[in-house]
Amino acid sequence: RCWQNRRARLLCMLALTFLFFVVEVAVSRVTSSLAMLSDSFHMLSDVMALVVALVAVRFAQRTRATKKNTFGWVRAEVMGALVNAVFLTALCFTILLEAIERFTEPHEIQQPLVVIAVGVAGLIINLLGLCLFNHHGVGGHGHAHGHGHSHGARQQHPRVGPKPEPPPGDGEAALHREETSTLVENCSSSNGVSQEKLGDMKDDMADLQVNGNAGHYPLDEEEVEEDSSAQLNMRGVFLHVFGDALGSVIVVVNALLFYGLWNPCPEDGPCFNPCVNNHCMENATLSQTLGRANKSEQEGITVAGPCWLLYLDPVLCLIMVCILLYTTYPLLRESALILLQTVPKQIDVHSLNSKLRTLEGVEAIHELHIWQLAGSRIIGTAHIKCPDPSTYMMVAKRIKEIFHDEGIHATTIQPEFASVGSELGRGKCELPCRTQCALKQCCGTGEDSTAKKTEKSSSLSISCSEVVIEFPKTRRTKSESIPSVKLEANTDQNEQFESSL
Amino acid sequence: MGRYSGKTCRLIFMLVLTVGFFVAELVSGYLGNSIALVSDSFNMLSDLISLCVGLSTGRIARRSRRGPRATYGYSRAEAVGALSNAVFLTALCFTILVDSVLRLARPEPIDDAQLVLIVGTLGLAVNVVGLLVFQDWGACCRRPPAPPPAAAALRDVPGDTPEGEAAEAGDSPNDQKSPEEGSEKKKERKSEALNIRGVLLHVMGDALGSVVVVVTASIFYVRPLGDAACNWQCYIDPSLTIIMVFIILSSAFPLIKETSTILLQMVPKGVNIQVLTDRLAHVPGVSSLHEVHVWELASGKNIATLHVKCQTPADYQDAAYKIREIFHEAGVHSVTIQPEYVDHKTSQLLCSSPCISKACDSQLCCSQSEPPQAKTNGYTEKNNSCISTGHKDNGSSKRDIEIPIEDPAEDSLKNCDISDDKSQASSTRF
Repeated sequence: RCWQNRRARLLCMLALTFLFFVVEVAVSRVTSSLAMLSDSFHMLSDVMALVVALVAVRFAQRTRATKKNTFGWVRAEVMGALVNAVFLTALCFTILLEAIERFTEPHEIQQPLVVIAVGVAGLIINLLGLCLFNHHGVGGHGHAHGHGHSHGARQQHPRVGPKPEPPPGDGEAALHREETSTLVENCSSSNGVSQEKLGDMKDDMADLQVNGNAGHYPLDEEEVEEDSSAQLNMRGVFLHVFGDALGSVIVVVNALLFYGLWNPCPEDGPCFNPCVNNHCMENATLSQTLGRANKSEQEGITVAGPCWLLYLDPVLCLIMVCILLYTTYPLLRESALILLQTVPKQIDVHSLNSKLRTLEGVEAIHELHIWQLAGSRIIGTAHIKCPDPSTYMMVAKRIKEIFHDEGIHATTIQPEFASVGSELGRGKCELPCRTQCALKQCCGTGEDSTAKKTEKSSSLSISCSEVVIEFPKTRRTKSESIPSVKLEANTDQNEQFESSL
Repeated sequence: MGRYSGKTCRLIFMLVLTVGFFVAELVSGYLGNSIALVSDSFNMLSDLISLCVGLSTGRIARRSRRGPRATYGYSRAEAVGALSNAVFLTALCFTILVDSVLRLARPEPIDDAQLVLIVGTLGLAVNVVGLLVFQDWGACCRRPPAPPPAAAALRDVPGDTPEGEAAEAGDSPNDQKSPEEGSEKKKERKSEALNIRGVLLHVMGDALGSVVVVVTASIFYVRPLGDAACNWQCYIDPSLTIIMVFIILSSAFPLIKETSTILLQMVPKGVNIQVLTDRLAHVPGVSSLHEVHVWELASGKNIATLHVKCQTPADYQDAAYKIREIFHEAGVHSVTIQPEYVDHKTSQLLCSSPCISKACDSQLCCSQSEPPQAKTNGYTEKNNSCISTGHKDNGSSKRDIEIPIEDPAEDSLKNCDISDDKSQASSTRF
């Protein structure tokens, strides 16, 4: 439903804009106004931006894995947003160049009345578009707050999923909740079963309270930013329409002022136009006017109107370019950061790492990667070193909970068992690819052993030796239950102590 | 870094040359009233911008340090930079196209053909120099060989994990290193190429623009128009420009497609996911697989994650090594495998340990609730019957803490059917 809504809006705006473009071209042919023709092409660029956004929306509907893309096409919207942002920047660049051109060669506006009429029509269409897309506008606030507040009451169930029933009056919100809404509602019963069990466990773990609050934020996020990638996409479109609206405003203002204040050269009779830098004309008119002036001084020479009017257009364009660039930059940055596989803003990898390390049974963590697929889908992978499989089984659930609290719901945890005849348990991956593949790996297994060489060594490699130092007691208690491992564990310890020193 | 000093010098040289020439071209374009020259000069400016973008992203990507903000480093910056350059170029082509169409509607002759010709030829020379400079860079960027200490350290690791890995590790790494180095250099070149291709595209567009300018100006120089009305000569400029735009667009498109493959997390080109999952499913010890994801971080670096269901931990450890072998042969070297143990209660196909509650489903990278159709995402079932072991009891007791999956699974399957119907209905409504 939500997608239909977005698509409907996009298609509607697309149709309107294209129609207007055709109308503008026709009018410009009739009135042979070049300025209107070039303005109509701005509308065409709008159409292209809408097409990009539509394509992205179509793609992003397919969330299933396919042969070509194991994640589905959810990311298409983020890419659509980036493409639109770069496109808009390029357009700003060309508008800037046009403005500079106008500075050197100012043009008069011919037939300002027609320009005003068409400009006003374009402005109306753009304002309509702004209203259509304002819902997803700069940050989508209107939608966000409604959910945020209704969530505030849910402090005591931090780890359960979103609230069972959606707020009744918020029809828009219900529409925006994709097809998983029914899933959420029907799962509330099963959530209820687990809730009690989770409540029992809650007493054991003191740090859950902290986690609860930390986990609350992603819950807000997940409700609010249900389609935050879609929001990015719509923001791109919104910015295009906004830029167009600004352009229309400038056209209308300029034409109005021109109509009101400009003193045009009459077609007959001499006219001196001081603003247009045309050598031939100047000489001709000057000689003519001088000749005439000799005859009679009463005869007034029409001088074309105030020159600053001609420079109004480029100045306004410059201002518009600055505004547009200022508003486009955040969108560009956000979509680029997602595409660069960076850690989402709200997640602190250091604290996550320390939370995981403090778990009993976890000896070391490496290859911890967190990235955002699109919207609220955050993916994490980690390699966790445990002494043996049974310890891992006990700890696996808690690991997933820690990730869940941070808002990372799709995780792949690889357990590695240091007990199986290893001695260099210094946080090195037990199951890397063959040695010569080190450089083709995402991060190279060489990084742990060469941790000291890298100037800005990641905290992860340091943490492995830290873990060993911090928890000598736990390891010894473990070794009691698993006597076979005891000696090896101790020797490991000593080795690592020496090496860390 | 020492090895970049040569390139930096060349780049600064190119930058300075381009800036100087841009100014010269702009001025003479206005004086000579040639739109081709004006647009060509703006192409130089856009060239500069694309050069800066390409260089800065290349530098960011090479630094590539993992940190708390980016766990994979920034090696993807090249792809993003290349995409930005390609889109920027497309937008510029669009505006040039618009200008040409307007010129076709209102043709104007070139006034000062001689000046335009001179400046145009110089511009062409600059562009050709640029092409040569970048071709040289892209083609033979000689990296020093892979850091030997890392390889040596890895070589010394005795076989910690069982079976043949020790043999592989100590097994004549020298002869295995050189072809790897060769291919690594090729991959490096390929990743450079992605970044540099964006810049090259701009320079090439520039060169084409200069060619058009020179052709038009020479025609006007040889057959000056004087004060006569515009004849066919006035239409050459815009029409050639339109042809040029199409040439540039046709070469920008493949670049966009390639960067999309990386940025959209698509399966990398050399990997056939169908064949791969089939081979993985046939590894002994593996009951089933799901959540198989393969994607490309940056050129040459492929990453995979998957969940395997096994009967026992011993099965898993045997299988893990073989799974990695299979991935290695497919060209994927960073693999994270999550073992899950077979449980009578859970369907073979669904994940035993998704996030802790079913409600997180929408946040999962791929919805768990969707029934595994015969799609290729590794939803393969083995024919082995479930063998219950002692360990399975531990597993099932652990399962009690988790949300029992079988009932909600049925519910969720039902819901999915309902929601699928709804979504289908809504799409047909539209």
